[in-house]
Amino acid sequence: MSAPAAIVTGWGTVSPFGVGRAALAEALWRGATAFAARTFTTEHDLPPIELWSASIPAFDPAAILGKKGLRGMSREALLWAVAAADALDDAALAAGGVDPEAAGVVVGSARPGLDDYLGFHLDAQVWGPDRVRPVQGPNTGLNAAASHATIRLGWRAVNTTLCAGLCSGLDAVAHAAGLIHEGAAEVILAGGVDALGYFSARQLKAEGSWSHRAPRPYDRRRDGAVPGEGAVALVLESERHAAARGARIRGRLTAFEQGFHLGLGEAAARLAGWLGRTRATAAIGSASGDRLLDAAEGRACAAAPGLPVAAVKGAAGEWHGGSGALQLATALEAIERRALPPTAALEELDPELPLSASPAPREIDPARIALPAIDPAGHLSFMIAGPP
Amino acid sequence: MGEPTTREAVLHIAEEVLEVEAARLTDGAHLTGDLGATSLQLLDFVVAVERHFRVRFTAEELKAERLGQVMQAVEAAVARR
Repeated sequence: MSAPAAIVTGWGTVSPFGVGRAALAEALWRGATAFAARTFTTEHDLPPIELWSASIPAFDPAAILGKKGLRGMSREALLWAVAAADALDDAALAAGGVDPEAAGVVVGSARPGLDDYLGFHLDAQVWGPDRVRPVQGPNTGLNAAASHATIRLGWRAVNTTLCAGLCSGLDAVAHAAGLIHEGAAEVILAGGVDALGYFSARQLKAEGSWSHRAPRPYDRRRDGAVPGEGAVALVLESERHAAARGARIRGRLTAFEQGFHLGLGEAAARLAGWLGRTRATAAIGSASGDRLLDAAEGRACAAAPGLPVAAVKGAAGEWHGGSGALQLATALEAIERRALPPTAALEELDPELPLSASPAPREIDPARIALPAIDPAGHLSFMIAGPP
Repeated sequence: MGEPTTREAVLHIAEEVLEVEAARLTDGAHLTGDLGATSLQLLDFVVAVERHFRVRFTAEELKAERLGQVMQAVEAAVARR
């Protein structure tokens, strides 16, 4: 599948480094990391779960969104709404300044609604169906974050959630670009989100194979990824809409590719072909410290000798459905700075990986920044972002 | 600081669930008419109060329309526990 070109006029985030674009960008280019032990609990008689993770520090959502309606929002809906508000601010676009019939939301998420689904049904099982929280009910659906956002914004053209594991964020952006190209919408808030809660932490802990220190993407001694949480929302607009309001264009998305049911070797070969054909000038990788996924991405880079690559999951953790959008937001910032952020915590580049990564920021030609995402279930996504 | 009184706890829950300023939470305040509670917020309020005090309201107590009546219902339900 290929998607048509699209333009991005703003992006916003809430990340383990705090609320807003500036906090994330400053931390990434400084080489900061955001990992700590966090304990998750429930109201039920269940053991606490301690998870080494990149969690979002406490913040006051009412100061950003107003108090009304917050109680009925799940954590992921809240994170997405905060990122969306930040993105609209970056795009200098008021929610009411858009034709609501021509504006929508497309969210990518790997485990949407999981914590609320399990919490809601556990309440019903333990305390009885008449003791569940009624406002939690709608949050048990997969589409809660997108739905809360469209309701708050009053936008009616599109309201969609895509679930494709680690590729969810990039796929959501590509889907939004396609919808704009088809004329289904003029403006779409697209990106990705995943949040950490008691049940997701329990599931992640059970999966094991996580690192217990800062992860080291592409490093010879890498020993696993570290789970994190966060949201990145991007404002995609039609050329006509952006031009009519004199919007500043942050970047252009000029290529998108997907593959399905691929083994890691096949995914690496496919990715190598795309890197070569698109003549990528730099890359924001999806490497997370995972031995096999990093190796597949690294082998693909042999198709573009000397390609400068940075991996932001070494700083912010594995956001799952939010990761692809995080890579894209980092690319937009790299276009503006004409530099890649460091690959935080990288100590010794794995000599078996034919790529160029560095623990320091590096100047680049931002003409065509590649954004790969490899999901261990066999899904592969790829995007190219470039300057206005 | 000691445990909040029944009254303080109900007012706190009302402020959070019904999303209104504390100054508007008087005994005579009508939950829908004065405080603007939606049907979903009313359900959420009842469940939150029941969960906090670990009680179950009777069908008669669930007819409470004003905040003062909710206080009385809580005290009656707690006494039955």
